[in-house]
Amino acid sequence: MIANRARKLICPIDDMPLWEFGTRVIWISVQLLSAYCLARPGTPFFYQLF
Amino acid sequence: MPQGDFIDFARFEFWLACAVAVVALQITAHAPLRKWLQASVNVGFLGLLLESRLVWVVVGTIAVWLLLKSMAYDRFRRRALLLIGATTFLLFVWNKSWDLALETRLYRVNAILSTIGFSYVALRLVEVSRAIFEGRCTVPDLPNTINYLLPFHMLAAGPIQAYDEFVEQPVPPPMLTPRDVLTAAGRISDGLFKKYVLAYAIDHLFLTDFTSAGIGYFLETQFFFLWLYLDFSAYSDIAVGIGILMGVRTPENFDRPYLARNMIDFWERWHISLSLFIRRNIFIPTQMWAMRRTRGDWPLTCATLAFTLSFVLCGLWHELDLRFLAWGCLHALGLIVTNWYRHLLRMRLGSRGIQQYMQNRFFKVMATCVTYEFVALSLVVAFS
Repeated sequence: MIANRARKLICPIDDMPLWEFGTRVIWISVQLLSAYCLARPGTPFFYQLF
Repeated sequence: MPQGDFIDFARFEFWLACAVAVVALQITAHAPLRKWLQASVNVGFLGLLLESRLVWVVVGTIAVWLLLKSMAYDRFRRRALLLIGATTFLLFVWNKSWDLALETRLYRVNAILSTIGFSYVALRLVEVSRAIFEGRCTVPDLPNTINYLLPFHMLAAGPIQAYDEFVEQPVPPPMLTPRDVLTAAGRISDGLFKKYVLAYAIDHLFLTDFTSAGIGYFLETQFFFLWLYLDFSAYSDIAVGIGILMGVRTPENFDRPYLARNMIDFWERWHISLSLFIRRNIFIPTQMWAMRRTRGDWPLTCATLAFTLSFVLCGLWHELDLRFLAWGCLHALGLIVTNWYRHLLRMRLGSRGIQQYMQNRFFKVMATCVTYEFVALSLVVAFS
């Protein structure tokens, strides 16, 4: 029961394995961090110009 | 190049405002005034960009709403449709005419139109006007008019949601689940990574505004298509992610267009919302008109006419100049050739032969490469 509660805290998605949830969270974090490091204000998306 | 303000996804203020909007809309998900709060969020975003000029957008939206309401009366239906159509067309042409506008004081109008992404608003105006005129949908109230025409997360570059789809959205939206949050976070991070990491890398390594020569030019034509896909699909990913968090249905815009095996397949994978708009509002009506005139005797010719008109207009929608007219004509040609080729294959191979042909890996790879090169070449015509 304690293990179940701990798992639910770490991985709130019932039908997703913990490793998959962890991998997706880590990948999202990597993507956001790298985008944060390289993003420069003042660069619109190309199709905003149409 | 337009000189309006634009929604800058690299600014912290944008994401802070987004977070506030998402929390507010989730808290009020079941409240009867949710649509008013959503309209306030949409107008509020525009207010951050336009400041005092927002009043013109609000006045314009109210005027559109009143004209749409007048369509409920038979006496005013046609006149209201004509007025909306004519005004939309004039504003669209003016929006594209920056060179002319800069010589007059009216360039301020262009700045407002660019900021609200009028090219996309114009298509939504066509959608909603047609849906009401043809009696498919009832007239929206003011907050829903604002929410359909000016959704902040779809403002800058689409997607272009069909009005029927907007009306069919569940109200209140389904409860947000942890899986939805993870999906939304994934889409947003995918979009930011594609734009600020992958597209940025390609831009810096390979793109020279087509000033390179020899093998460099060839590589640039290949990577420009990829860069455009990454940049544009990134925006759509972010829009879909924000839409999930707000409980607002946002249509998909891309489905691996680099894997298209012919031009018809390409336009079912690239800028899908625009492609569907063209199909609903230009291709099918044109084809049906032509079929009626020819009593259905020349279906291929009717489709040829419909493709030509659709993609000439598609090219001009991007920019009112010869390069984009040529781009549109090239795509029309690609679609016409694909359609005729399909017809030829059906006649020669029959349905079983077609199945074997479609499953043949060699033909699939060749067709995909040819399609990729064709699209890449057409982009050179438009953007070099």
